[in-house]
Amino acid sequence: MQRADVVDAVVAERDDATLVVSPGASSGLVFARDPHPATIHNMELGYATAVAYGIALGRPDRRVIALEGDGSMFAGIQVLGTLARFPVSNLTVVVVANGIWGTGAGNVATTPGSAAQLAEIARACGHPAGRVLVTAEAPELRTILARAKSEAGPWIVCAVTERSSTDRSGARPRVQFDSVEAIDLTRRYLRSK
Amino acid sequence: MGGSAAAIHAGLVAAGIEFCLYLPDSGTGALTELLEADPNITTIVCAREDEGIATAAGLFVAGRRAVVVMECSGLGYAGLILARCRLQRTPVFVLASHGGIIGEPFDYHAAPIAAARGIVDGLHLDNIVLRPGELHDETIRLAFQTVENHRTSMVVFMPLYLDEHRAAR
Repeated sequence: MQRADVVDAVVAERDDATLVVSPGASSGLVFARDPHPATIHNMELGYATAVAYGIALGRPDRRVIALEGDGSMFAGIQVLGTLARFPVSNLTVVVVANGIWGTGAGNVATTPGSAAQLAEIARACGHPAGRVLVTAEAPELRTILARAKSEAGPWIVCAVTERSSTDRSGARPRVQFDSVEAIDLTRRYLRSK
Repeated sequence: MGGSAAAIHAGLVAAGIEFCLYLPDSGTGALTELLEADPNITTIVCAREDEGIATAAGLFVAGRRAVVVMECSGLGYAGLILARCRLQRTPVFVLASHGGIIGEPFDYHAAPIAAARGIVDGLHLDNIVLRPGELHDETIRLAFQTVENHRTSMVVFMPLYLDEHRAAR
């Protein structure tokens, strides 16, 4: 599975969920594939899940997705503990787990570990095993994300991906509007619902 | 901050605060106890203060009113997310213990205070220090009014000596 397959699966199963995307390649791909207004791109490293958690807390009637990289997830790993202690049923965290930092030449391994280890950490934090899933197959990822729409979360989904050209800086699509616009579009969209 | 905690809580209620993200601290314990007991305020104990700020930012996006309560050391962790909040005009309201310069009883609070001042000054965040004898409820209500209407973050420092003058009298 490639990063683009993960983005395609998230976009396909998103419907009207609010989406917060970690910095770099995933944000550009989401922007290129899905013009949905309720999208916050390029959230700072380590904070996409925490911001998404806040939106989910504030709007329990709306589904929220955080699309993280494994480097970003590990940078803010403690939020998994908070999320287990104070769970919200409407949040899905999808982690693109390619094992590298998606910057520069895209060839430096992330320090902490594998998707399986990340899943173990999530379970150790208290997330039910049935809501912490690892997959390397795009069709299975879509099936999981479809379940997450109708079955209460929070869901932690680790999507194992191969390294790809979009992992390199300069080789990825870029988001064409700024973070102020993204925030205001998302707020306005949520207010209208 | 025993006596001032009730006034600060009253100010947060008057401001319409719905959520409180916090990490416990001896300097904020009386306040967070009141917040925990308030049925109209949802409290979340976070694992790091910067995580609480990010969650509060999400709550703002969702149209909700939040406060983040912490020891000022937490501001030291939070430079990047506070900078992002400023960039994208997502205001965060922070109540932080210490930060009043005088009246500090231990040397180990010097680094957290220095880090907090560095973040607040470096990011040009609006900030005030509560003083003994002030109308803290009204100060908090008005502070949040500015946060909400200007869409700018603000840090309110709550020094340890806030209530000492009462004991000394």
